[in-house]
Amino acid sequence: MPRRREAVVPEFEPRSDALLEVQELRKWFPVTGGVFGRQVGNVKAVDGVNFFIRPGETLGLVGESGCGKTTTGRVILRLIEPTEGRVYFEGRNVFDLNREEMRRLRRQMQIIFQDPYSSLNPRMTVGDIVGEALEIHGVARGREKGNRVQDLLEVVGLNPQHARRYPHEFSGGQRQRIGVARALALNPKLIICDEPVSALDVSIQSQILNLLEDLQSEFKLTYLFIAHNLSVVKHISDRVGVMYLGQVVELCQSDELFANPLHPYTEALMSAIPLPDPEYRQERIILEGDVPSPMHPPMGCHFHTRCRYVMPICREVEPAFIDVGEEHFAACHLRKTRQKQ
Amino acid sequence: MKQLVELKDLKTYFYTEEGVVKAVDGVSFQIERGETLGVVGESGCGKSVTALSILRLIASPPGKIVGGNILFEGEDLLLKSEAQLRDIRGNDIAMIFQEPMTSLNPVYTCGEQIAEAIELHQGLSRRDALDESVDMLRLVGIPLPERRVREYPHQLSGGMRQRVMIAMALSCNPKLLMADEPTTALDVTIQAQILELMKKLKQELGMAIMLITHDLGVIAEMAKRVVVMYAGKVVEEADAVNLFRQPIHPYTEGLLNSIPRLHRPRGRLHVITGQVPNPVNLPPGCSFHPRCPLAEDICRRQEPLLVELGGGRRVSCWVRAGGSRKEVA
Repeated sequence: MPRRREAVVPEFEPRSDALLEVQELRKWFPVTGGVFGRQVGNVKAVDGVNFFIRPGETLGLVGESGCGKTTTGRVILRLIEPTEGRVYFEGRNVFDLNREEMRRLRRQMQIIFQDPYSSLNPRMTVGDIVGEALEIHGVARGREKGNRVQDLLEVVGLNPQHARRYPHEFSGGQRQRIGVARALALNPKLIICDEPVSALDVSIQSQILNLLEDLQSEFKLTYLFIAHNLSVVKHISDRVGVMYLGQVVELCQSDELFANPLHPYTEALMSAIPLPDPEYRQERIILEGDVPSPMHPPMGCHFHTRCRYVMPICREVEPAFIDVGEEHFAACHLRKTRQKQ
Repeated sequence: MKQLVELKDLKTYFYTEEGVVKAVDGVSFQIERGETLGVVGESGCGKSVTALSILRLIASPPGKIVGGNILFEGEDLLLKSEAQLRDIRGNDIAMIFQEPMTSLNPVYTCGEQIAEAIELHQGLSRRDALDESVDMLRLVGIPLPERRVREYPHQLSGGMRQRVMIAMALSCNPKLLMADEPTTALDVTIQAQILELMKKLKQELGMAIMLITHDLGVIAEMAKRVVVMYAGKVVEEADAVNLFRQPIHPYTEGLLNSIPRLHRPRGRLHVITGQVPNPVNLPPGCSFHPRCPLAEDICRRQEPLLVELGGGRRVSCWVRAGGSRKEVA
């Protein structure tokens, strides 16, 4: 059955005020099966994502496991090739670039990974880890590289004398600082932070969040901050996008999202968070069941199987992701204005 | 007898190549019948080892319970034989773990795993035990329990697996359920389902819950009383409302201030400086002093005792609680 969508988004010019713009991004992973290993379907990890980030801004992407937030980050960097869609970085479509052009662009776009244990090579010293990119991109070598590495370590709050140590000699929080130093090495404009604090203890988490904020104002960085923890995302982001089953279902200013969530999934997600205040009792919307398989996302609105406001149209027509006013985007048939019924 | 569990000065040490790790070092607290006690702390603070010690499940070597008492309904579990313990584990005290996938056996069906405990502890026949396990699955809100009972763990989602774990733990109607980070591996919307389920079951079955987690939100939601641990010791114990309203120990205070809040304006986060200390080489005096903004001379030299401040509150801090007045049994 062909997919019915409320509106097909035509290819449009990238916004001039955006550092990064993602249009209709899709990444489907083929699933093979049977004795002949034929393709039996697709996991639609990212299925039509649209957003943009202005220079110096932090955009948060939040969602539960399997919603496609990590894949989105990796496709933007072309660590995974997209199935469809466009990603503009400073007005140029990243997917049109050849190898060499892409390599040069990577200096502008860096990533910090979730797990500070597996994302650092245990056989390399901290100095080599942080300095590797400087050498590869021909920015600095020898003593100059050494000096730059020491500066970077100092910037992220590590002892510059520790450049000769190995990752196992550091705690989780310190390792994440090494990952941050590595991302900063080439003076990038954009850093994709993929769950940078989820593996850390609460007391260490706040140290890293503050560090990221300091670095942003010092180096005019732009962040795409991907995480599952809404409180963390709200804290660090100027604007937040909420993802569900491969799509951004709502996106707006951080404060607006929490004061006036429009999409029923955002509403449920926020009410599900246990707040650290035993005297505060909120109405909790318990979503029934689990997230459907991304191999067979529901027809119409992907969320309709768990939505408490579901209407007949939701089962058939996929809602368009539209601006309902003041850059508050939502994809919901029920909520087409900022005023709730 | 009001107290279900009484830990008195429990010490569980691990003898490793690098040295002795005092994972639990003189922990005392109590759990009343039917109450939910939250145990909170960061990784390595000894909260999980405390729970495993209660079940006497510390691998030896390298671990060993070197001191203290664990009274369960007035009887010391440290004096029980292995056979007596088997009778208690699963029957009177049950436990659920963080990772529901690795705690279920992949080669047995969910029904077989639940039935095993029922057969063993309640002496039912295989068939009756399997029928009972269908009822348990229904109790924990698994749809189509007659079908699910014949399925294997890999056929279930993470939330469903945790429900199976809870069904198994509750199948013998334990007096104490220890839940070690039961929702940490789950998404928030699934976590909300599981927490709701645990509350409902506690009301219906009346067991006590010892809830171990690093998530202060989960603690606030579930626990009536809270024990805060740091580096193998209890640093503060209080009624949940009082603890969140006014933490006394600087560590508790720092922890509460360093979490980003959903309903508060954005601002710079409070930070506890430094790292959790190396467990084989704890600092002298109060273990928290290198990270404490209030630390004074005495904190570096001498360990503070856990002091009763009235209203069920205990704090170990020289600055905030005098530290020395008297030790609490």
